[in-house]
Amino acid sequence: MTTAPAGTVTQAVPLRLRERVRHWLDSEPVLAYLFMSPGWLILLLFMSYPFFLGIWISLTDRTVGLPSGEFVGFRNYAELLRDRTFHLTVMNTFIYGFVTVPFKLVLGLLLALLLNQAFPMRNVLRAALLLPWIVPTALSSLAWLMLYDAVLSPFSWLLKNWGLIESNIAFLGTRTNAIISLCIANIWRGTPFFAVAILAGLQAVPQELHEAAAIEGANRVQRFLAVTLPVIKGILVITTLFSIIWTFADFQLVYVLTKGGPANSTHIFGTYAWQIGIGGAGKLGIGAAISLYMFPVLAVLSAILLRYVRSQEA
Amino acid sequence: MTSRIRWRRLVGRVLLGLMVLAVVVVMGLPLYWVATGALKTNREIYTFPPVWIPSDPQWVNFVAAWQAVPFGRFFVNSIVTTLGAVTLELFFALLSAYALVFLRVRGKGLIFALIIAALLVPSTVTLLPNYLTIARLGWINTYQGLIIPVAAVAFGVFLFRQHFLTLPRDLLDAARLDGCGHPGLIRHVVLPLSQPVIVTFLVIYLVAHWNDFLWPLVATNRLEWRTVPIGVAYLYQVEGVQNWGPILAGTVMALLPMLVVYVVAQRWIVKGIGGGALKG
Repeated sequence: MTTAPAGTVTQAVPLRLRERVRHWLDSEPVLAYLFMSPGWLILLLFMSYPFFLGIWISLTDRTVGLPSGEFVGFRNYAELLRDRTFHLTVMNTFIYGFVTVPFKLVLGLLLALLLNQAFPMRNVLRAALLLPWIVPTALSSLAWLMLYDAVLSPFSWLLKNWGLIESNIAFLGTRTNAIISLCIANIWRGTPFFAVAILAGLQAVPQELHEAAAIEGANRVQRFLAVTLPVIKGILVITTLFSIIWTFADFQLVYVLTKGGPANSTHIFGTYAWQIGIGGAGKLGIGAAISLYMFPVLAVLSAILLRYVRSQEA
Repeated sequence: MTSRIRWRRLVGRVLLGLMVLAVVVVMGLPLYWVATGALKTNREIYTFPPVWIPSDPQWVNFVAAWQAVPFGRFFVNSIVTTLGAVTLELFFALLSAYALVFLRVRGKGLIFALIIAALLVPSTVTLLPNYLTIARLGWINTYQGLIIPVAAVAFGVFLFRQHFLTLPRDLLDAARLDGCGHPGLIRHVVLPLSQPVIVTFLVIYLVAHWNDFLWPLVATNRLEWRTVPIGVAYLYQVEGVQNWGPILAGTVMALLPMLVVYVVAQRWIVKGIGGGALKG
């Protein structure tokens, strides 16, 4: 420990200012706060403050045209409970968040196991696999918009060509179709991140154990469960939790592909909040309330994350 | 017996090959569509059956994209914004995580819980208040306005904290006994042992900032301050649906820098995440 008892030294010999500052900096709590303060400053100004301001706005009838709204208590929240579009929004967000994640997890795991095998051009393929994640969502969603086009969709063309369908599929035309289409695009975009995280985890799996288990007659599945899974379990849990959080708070993919349509039936929290709060109506109060309805779910998820991380450290 | 094993191995090979092929097709198809579309004439893009290989590559689409909007300026803006934000995040997150793991200070548990909480505040909640803040600071159409509000340190602190906890304590204690102060410890012990996780963090956040759409859209309102993703979306408005070629060419240009970053960093990433960065 270099934390010399600064006080006693100062008493014995009067120190020059520079040295006194140096001793002061040697005190661990002071140094810790100094190290943490720049990060905290940004978090406070651009995360906590806007968060609490958002809560305040959600309790007012503030609009874009009328910057100083009046306090209305929980009226915005109550109004949303009677709003049919909001009911759909809640359902959609849950479908979007919780249905896509298992697919991303399983597909990502399979991909990672696949790319962990030895085959020619493996590195090129590993890089190519990550493309959906590297391409800006704003742009890949444009590509999906073309692929889902009501008239020009290559999917429809292929299926028609194979004689599986008679007329073009309205990929974004009905609520059910649109939600399935959104989920597919989301799975496509999200799977590579799982694959890369899991692939990385697989590098830590001890090969000797695998070989020993194989000699003792364990088949592939048994070896996966007994040797591989325990090593990558942590990565699976954390990646899954982050993915749920990110998917829940998504915006761009839905905004570009459906804008919440048809007939406001495919909104998720982010897009509906945007539409009510900033886009069309400019009802900032209600928009903020919509975003904040997301909070309980995200709070539960982060509590799980925190507990998991702590339990691993105990 | 041996022939049976050889047979099984062959079947395994073929199956593996088929699966790899399937993955390539599914993951690659939309991107193949973009990349080849960038070289097609408009008629080819809208032809049925679809044209898989452009008959006469239209490199002129790239020129058209570059001329239709000030792409050079967009690239400069994106590069400054991305590098600025990532540098701030890396520096602040490393310092915070170091303090949380290696310094004796009260309330570490609470601070860590708050960091996790910060991870989940939805950006739709903070977007508007942050816009009001930077408007009041006079930061609209400035680099500080583009950079500072999105310099999200929380995930970095999380990542680095988890990694630092796996570093061998004995090594650090030994360095301390040799009279190494905290700055020295960071420079000579912690940073060298953290290279893979730092590269992982850099790649994740370079991609995130390079691709960010919503915040630059809100924080700027003049064309010369827009970033690349918005520039491409703007190209979409300028060219309209009648002219997909230049739009797709712009898309390809927008993603090339990140492709280079990833290919260069790939060796590190796999090591990084596996080396404790994402472990519980």
